[in-house]
Amino acid sequence: MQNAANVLSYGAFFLYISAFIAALFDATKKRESTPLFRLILFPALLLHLSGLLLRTYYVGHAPMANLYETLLFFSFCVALSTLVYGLRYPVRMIELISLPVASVLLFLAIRADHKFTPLFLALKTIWFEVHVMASFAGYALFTISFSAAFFFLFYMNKNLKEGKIYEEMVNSANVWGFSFFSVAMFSGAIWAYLAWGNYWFWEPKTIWSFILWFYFAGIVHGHYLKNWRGKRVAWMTIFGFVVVIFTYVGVGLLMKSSHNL
Amino acid sequence: MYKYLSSIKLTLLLTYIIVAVTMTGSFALLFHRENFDTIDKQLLIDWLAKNSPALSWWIILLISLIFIFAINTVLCTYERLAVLVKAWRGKRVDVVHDEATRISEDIEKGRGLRLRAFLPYIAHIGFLIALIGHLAGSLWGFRGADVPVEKGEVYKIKEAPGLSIKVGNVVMEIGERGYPEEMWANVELFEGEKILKKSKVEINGPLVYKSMAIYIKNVQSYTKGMVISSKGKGHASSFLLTPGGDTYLGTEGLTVTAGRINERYGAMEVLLFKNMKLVARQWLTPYNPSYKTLSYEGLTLSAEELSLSEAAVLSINSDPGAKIVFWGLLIFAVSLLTHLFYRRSK
Repeated sequence: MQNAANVLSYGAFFLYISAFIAALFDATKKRESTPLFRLILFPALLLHLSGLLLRTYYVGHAPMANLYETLLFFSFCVALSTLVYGLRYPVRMIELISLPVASVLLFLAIRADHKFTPLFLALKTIWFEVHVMASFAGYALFTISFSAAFFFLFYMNKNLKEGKIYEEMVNSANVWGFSFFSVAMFSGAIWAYLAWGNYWFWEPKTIWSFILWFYFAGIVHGHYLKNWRGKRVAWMTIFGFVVVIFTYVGVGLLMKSSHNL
Repeated sequence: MYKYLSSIKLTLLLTYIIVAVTMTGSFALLFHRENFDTIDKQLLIDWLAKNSPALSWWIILLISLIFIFAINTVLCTYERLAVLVKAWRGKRVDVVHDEATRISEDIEKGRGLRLRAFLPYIAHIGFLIALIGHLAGSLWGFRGADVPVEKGEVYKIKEAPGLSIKVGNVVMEIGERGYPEEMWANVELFEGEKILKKSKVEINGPLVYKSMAIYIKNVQSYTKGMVISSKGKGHASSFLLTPGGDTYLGTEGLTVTAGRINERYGAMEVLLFKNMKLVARQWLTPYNPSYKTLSYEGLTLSAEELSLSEAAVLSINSDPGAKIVFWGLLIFAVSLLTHLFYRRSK
């Protein structure tokens, strides 16, 4: 069963790479034609989702309990967000950053330890699924805003219309990402209270989650200030992605935390 | 001064100072892990009182910054809600131009105000409620240590005089791979003789009564005593020997008493007294033939089996602010999500 999931993951990975190459080609084409990368991305997502579902069936729970599973899920969220924003907005550049990010995450997942360990009792609750899914949805949306911010800065002085669209994408992805991450913080607080006796712990992962949440709260508010809107928000968003990656993997690798990845 | 205290500029300045202080503090925590190990096991106010400011400076600074941030949030929310309520009533309002907001633009362009305009400020109110709850929980209540409570035992909660708990069945089932698959205990909470609440306490399912919550952390098997058989001096008997209890053998003034228990080896120290004078002492265990018997003047005491009991390791906390925090966060999250999905009027 796990072998089948691996095959599907490899299939998705190669399709993501193909979609990225197609996106490079699409970037030179006229806007009216259907982007080739979407035609490849959609089946890639189906393969990826199938791999996730197989893993769910194999382990008997939502696949988010270890590094392999969270990488698998995170990469799926990034790719899915790329498709959604690609359909929603009439520009086609953010996938040039978000697809490589999704591919790298999926590659790391494939290389990670796939060993199945039973779920600890504390993880056997709906709050686990809600908290982790909302966290990674937030992370994925911050990845999209990071991609859009990069292109906003690139187009800012070259093409006002495209620059405005990317600015709107940055704001939209930040607001949605902040909202999902707020749900993650809320559900995490309830789960911690029910499982461990306190809704807040002074330990690295909880502290860095608070840092990330507060950081993006600032960015969401910054959009409402004239001299913050645009360039400053874009740079803050780009740095915010560093905070996302540090919160996800840096804390687990560099700091001793009782909080699983 | 008031205008600055209620401005988004101050919000942003405070936000990023708080972020920077917290980032710094997370590394301070990393390098002084042993000092911070106890921070979650007591009220924050108690931990701050016991630890040097050289260690806790960043938490004190964080608290101060969040206090100012809360004032900023209150003033900012009040300012904007006042404008919205005025506009809602159809009165003329002055739009703040240096902090242009979507609501201000709506008012300028004559669009009708809808609930959506109020939602971000309802979210702010939710945030403030959560902060108040967190403050309450940091100052009042208690965080109890883990205590093993045996089945049938009544434990008086020392942090809450007058309250006690009684444990009924204790269950722990280990799965095929050696991990716990089930762990729970029936617990009753008493005030005097009156049962306040009873429920099955399991992981993710504490017993919650007002601000108090009782958690199960583990189930411990421990040695309650040892079944000893006694032969010689014209008699044979078998009895359960437990620490704190003497067994009179009924002959020549001989009494057997239990000393220390070694859980790791399943052994118990057995002391033999004759007319209240210690005459023999030995560690006995049913698992090692070399240490199974104690002999004295024709009397043989043998370790037959251990008497095991299970205890639920419980943790009892009281956080008067927890429910306030959850209500605040719920208001915050619902307002935020509703604001996202609520369509704007065209």
